[in-house]
Amino acid sequence: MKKIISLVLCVAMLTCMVAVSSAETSLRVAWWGGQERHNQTIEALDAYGAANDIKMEYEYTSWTSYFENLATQAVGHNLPDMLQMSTTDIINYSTNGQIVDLKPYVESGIIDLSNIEESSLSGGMVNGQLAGFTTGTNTVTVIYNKKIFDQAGVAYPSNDWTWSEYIDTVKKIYEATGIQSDIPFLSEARWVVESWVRCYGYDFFSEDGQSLPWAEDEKVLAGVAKAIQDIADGVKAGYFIDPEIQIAWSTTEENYIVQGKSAMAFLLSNYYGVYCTALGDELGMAMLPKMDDGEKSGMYLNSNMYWCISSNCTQPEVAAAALNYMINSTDAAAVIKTDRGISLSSEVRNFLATSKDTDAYTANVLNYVSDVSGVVAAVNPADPAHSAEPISVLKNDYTAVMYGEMTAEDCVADFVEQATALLPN
Amino acid sequence: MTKQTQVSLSPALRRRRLTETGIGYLFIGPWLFCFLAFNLVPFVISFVLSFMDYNMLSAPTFVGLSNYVKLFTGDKLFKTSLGVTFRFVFIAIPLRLAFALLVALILNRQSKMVPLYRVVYYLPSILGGSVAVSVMWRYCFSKTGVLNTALQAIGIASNISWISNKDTALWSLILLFIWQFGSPMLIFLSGLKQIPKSYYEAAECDGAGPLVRFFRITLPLLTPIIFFNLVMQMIGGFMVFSQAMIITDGGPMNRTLVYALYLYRQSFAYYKMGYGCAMAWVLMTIIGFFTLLVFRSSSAWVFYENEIK
Repeated sequence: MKKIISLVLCVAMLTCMVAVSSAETSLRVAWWGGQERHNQTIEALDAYGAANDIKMEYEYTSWTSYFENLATQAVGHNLPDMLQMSTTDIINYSTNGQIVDLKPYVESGIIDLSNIEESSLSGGMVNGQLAGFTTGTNTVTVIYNKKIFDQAGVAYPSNDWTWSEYIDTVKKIYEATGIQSDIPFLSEARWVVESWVRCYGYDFFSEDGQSLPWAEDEKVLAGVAKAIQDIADGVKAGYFIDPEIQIAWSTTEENYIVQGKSAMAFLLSNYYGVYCTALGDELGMAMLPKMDDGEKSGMYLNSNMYWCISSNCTQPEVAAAALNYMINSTDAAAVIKTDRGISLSSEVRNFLATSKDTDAYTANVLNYVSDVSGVVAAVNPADPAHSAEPISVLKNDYTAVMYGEMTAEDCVADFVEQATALLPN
Repeated sequence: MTKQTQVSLSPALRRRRLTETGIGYLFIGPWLFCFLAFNLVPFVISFVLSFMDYNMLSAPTFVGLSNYVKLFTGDKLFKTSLGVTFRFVFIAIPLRLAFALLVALILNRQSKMVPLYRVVYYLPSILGGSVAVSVMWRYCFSKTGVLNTALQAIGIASNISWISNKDTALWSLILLFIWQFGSPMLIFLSGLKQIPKSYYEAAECDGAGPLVRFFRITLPLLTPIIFFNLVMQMIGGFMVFSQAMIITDGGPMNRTLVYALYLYRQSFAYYKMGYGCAMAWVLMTIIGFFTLLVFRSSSAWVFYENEIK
């Protein structure tokens, strides 16, 4: 028995020693994504690790299990050194001190801002701290099938079209060709509702994250309800796709727009390339339509996601330098391209725009996002704490209207009521 | 003192007993360790956390009963998800058991092919609540899926997207649950093998037909097995999660938002682990209540052969 115990102890000691000796400069990096992103990220980081003599360790998962893992690691004070973070979750990790303020590393120059406009960092600000560094921006767009437009004899949409023009276009194309259009953002209603309220000059959430700043304005409430009603009417009349069909899409290939069976769809701009590839043809891009009685463009820029450094990282300078590489290096960009959004760095953007490896789709997205940047001032801040639940209420109610289970007015009223109750005050 | 001398053993024998106990513990050690570390400890912790406000990222704070109060007074989806779960359990469990029994009866004949069939019918249960099966289910029940294609082939024009229709979505989950009837079927099968052949022979001599034999002999003698299956399946049914998560994600309009899925969302998506723990304990109480109900009622309908006086 004693022999066995001593043997076990010996083995354990040896393992520990091996572990310690190899732990000199190592960096644990975690992200979520698909296989493509895993391959690209590993390739880019491996090159960095080899050049700087850092042992890189990767923890990558799919989106569904990523935050479960992260929360468990947070409980065990075992978060990876550098981690990819989403706009909905960053607030929780930052306010609870799980990720560090990146400002010191920006000030010390480890994170280089010479090609990045400081205002574009706003997306990663939480309570005055730079909680996360935006990996790239992303925005919303209406993609359209040019062939279907030509066939219907309808003019392509312009960037300053209005909501009623949009509805008319959907109707005209259906009447001419029998081809329907996607219900705008059935998968996440907040993205379209946000563009509506922005047309009236409001942010979606108040700056303190405690309320919906537009909830008191009757004009906005009526405008939002009418827009939802317009879509519901179109569903009934048949010129929008049946919500039962649209809600069941889970892969890119299932979407009607990539099968040439839908004329228009609302989309996050970072998916544009994937959709064009799936369709095998170039799709048109237009900005979201303006509300007829609104004063402004409803367009907005979001951080696609962030790179963060966890508070139990023992060598934050090393992590910050790696973060800088992912943000600023054209070598990294050559591998990763626009997978994490359109880079904040003008140098990276120029590199991608002029590189001969850049395909037409990527070039289109780069142009589109730069057009949107001309209309929108800053990148949206991260979503406030406890906003995930009201956002899911909105999605659910919006879907209910499309299914004919709820009126548009009730949908807006219920969302406002529940958001007020769920947001902290 | 006298008692102690009575049970006292020789030192050698005592040592042997001790070693035997030690070896016994050694053998159950791995299980015991896992049980303590992954069942009992989380069990106790979750009870404590249910009285706390806990977001997983910072230390929990004690809030008394407020999680429970909020659950019962201010949470619409709590009631919705309970309703969905009850519908699921009360429809899917009886159907699954009936189906398992039916297949077990068919397989309980003498035939060379029976072992093969047993494997074939058990396969869906091995695949279990796996992601792959759930993804397959999506494709079967979508608008252009296998089911609609099959219906069209036999001349029924079906245009329903089963998993996203508000009336049929839950049924597609129920059907998946029934489809995985393997484990109760195997238990039924072993129960059927226990019934002495002589009973059937005697009944046949008395002129009893197959139906009478089933209702007068098979069913009564099978009640202990039915009882066991009912309890186990019911507990599993209340905790149904992965199918709803992967196939429908609770939609459309929360029609398939089963309790465990809502619990998961509160805990992991909304960072309300304390609230999630309180939900888990409510579910635990509900399961306990129904299990007790089945146990209490068992004296009225479960028949044990050895109890015959």
